[in-house]
Amino acid sequence: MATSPNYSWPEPDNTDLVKNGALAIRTMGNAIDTTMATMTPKSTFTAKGSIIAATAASTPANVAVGTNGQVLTADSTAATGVAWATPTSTSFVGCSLEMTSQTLSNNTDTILLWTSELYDTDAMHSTSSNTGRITIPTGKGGYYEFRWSLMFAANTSGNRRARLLKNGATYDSGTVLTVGAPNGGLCGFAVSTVVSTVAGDYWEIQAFQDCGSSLATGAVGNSFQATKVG
Amino acid sequence: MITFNKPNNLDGAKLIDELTAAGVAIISTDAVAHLGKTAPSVDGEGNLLLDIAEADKSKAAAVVAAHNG
Repeated sequence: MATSPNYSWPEPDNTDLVKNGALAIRTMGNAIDTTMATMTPKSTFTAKGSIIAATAASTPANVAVGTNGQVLTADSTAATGVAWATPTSTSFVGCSLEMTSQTLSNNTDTILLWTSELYDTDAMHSTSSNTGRITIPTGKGGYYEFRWSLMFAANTSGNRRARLLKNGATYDSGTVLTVGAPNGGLCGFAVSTVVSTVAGDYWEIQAFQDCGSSLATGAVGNSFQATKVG
Repeated sequence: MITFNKPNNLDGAKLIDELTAAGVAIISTDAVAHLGKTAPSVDGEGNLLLDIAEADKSKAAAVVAAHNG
């Protein structure tokens, strides 16, 4: 006797003589009944958007649809191991600071003070205390790109230096820039670097000049930016 | 680093000379490594920072108070 292609139920061939037909029908009926018992009824889908997950092996269950914008995510606390959840937003984190001008004493390492904020998404900077600092906010550690620019007033004597400080100390010799005063007198730096930092770290720019007297920064062209990149 | 009130008219080079004349040695090697200069620092709060021995603090304080760059 032949069998069905998927579940191997016994089926008489076209040429078979039918004898004991009742037994053949019962055998096939039992096979169908056994197979159907392993299948998930369509009533498991209870509403629009319903999906099926499992509470355990061979144990399907309905998961009702979430709200608009939610995504299906693994959730070990849910009965089915999955749940609809609102995705975490990855909003921009950063600040951009400027100053007008600052006097730099001769032969003195001086922290630059940033008096205005173009933006500051997470209170990383204060315009009233420790105004030279960008402080990494709680829960926002990671990789940051720092960009800063500094212009010096025109002067043809001595040297100029700018460096990035982390928690009051030179971050890395690669971020220390020193040049001799140019013939034309105008001099400046524009620097960008990516650093790994943790919440609570504070970052500053320190400038130096030894032209022989006090020298101001440029009236424009001074900025300090931090942008979280990862 | 020892913290002092920053003189109104600070000249780091002149202050180093005055400290040296008073027998106060600057310990800092950081500036030497980066520019060949020994220099005092001014922090973000406007304080003067000198890398000197604790024993020299009182002598340095007198020099700093009298400094006029």
